[in-house]
Amino acid sequence: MPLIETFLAAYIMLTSVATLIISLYGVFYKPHLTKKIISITIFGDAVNIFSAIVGFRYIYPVAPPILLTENPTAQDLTNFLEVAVDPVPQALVLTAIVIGMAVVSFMVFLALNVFRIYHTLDTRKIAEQRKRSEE
Amino acid sequence: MNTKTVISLLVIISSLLAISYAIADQATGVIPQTGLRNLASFYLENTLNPSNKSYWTASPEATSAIVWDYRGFDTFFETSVFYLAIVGCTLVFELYEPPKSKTTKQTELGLTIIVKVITKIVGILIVCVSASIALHGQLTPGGGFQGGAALAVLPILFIITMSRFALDRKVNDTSMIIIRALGLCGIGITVILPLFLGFITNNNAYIIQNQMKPDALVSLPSTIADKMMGGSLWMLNVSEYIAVGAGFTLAFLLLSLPERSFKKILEEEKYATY
Amino acid sequence: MIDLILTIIGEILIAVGVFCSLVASIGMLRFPNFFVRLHAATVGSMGGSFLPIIGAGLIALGSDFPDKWMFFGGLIVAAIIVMLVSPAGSHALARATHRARVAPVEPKVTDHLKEDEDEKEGEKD
Repeated sequence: MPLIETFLAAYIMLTSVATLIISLYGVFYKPHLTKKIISITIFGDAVNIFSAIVGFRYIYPVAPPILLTENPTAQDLTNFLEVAVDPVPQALVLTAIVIGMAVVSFMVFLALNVFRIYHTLDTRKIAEQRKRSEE
Repeated sequence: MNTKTVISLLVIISSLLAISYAIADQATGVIPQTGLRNLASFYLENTLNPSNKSYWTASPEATSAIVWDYRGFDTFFETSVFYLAIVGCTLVFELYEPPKSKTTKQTELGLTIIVKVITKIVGILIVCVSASIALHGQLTPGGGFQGGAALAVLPILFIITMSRFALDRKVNDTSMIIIRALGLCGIGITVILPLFLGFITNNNAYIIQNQMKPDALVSLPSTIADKMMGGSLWMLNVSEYIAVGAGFTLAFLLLSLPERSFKKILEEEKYATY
Repeated sequence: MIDLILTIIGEILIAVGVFCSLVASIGMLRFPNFFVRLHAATVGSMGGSFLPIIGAGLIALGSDFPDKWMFFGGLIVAAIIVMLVSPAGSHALARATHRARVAPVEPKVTDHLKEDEDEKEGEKD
């Protein structure tokens, strides 16, 4: 592979790994529950983008994994195999998006109920209030 | 530095090292690749192959074929995860009184008439577009979940422009739960359908089977009126469309509940004892 | 021939869209207050996204694409949705801002909406 393409591939890898690590930092160190939820969605999106790159092919006539003829011959299939990208990571990303959506909606509902009870979403203040109520 | 900080730092650094090592060691293959992996070429070659029908799915869209046919079990459990998440949401919000509007006049609720009329027109368009996304799932990018997510824009728009009470007259939680159960029943029936066909025709059959396999000669109709339907794919897509659309509508209906329907109950239950 | 004409019309529409987007971004940065900036934003969404979507549809129609009518139809529906939603959205924004009285209404000759609202509040009291 020529130099510029190697550089581009390394750049994409670095940015996606950096996004992963930054979102992990947000999950662990940000005290606000909303920011934790946002960090988790960013984590899922970074993983999804990474998987999409894993399935990509670096060739010139590149096509989505969809046959355009309804009755393909053997020649059509050979041409299709030469240009189509990998469909497996796309299917995995589809599954991951649905599960991420379900998890995030459940977390939002829980956070809303936490807010109704404690009137705040800051974990430090919630811990303080719990300590006070135990005394 | 307490123990918690140290453990979090360790987790972050070790995951960074693990991902970096995996990429540098090319566990995922060369990125970006120029060839195809064996699994991918198997799927691409067999998804619509009229000359060799032993592993085909009768769908030109390889991603849909993987999602609902080759890896149907994954998607089945993914659907159940979504189902359980919505069940959990309804359980968390179980304790509420059905809210009543302060006014009964339609004109006093929501935004101005311009926005309401536009919302109604756009609502029809949204239903058409989302149904088209779901019904063409076996031919073009799209499918049940995408169509359902597009349909779920409609209740949000209605809640914002016409208020929740206007939406309450048309749909409520119970009807949404019933519609969602109908969609899930559609998925269940489509999954078990090959077993019935195999029982009638005295053949082997698998759960979530779509087209005939070398050891199970049962197949669902791949074309209806000369249109490619992809066997079970379109039934699963339509069922998922209904289930996801109704599930999201239920979630948004619960999220838009006014606070006053919770506060009384929370005080009665003495959750807030601090 | 007709393919060439369609492609050229589509390219002209996309060029107009680029111009509108540029003008709208300059307006967003340079205009003095909220209501005038809202005008610039609507120029951006109507000229900068409605016209280029139609242009892309015409280009798809002019090329020898398989299933080009499907792409054209999808793009036209998207354009219609943008055309309907963007004015209604900026109307709702402007109305909400005016009712909350957080932005000065400038330049103005007279403000009938404010007078009406004041009258209504007077009746309630």
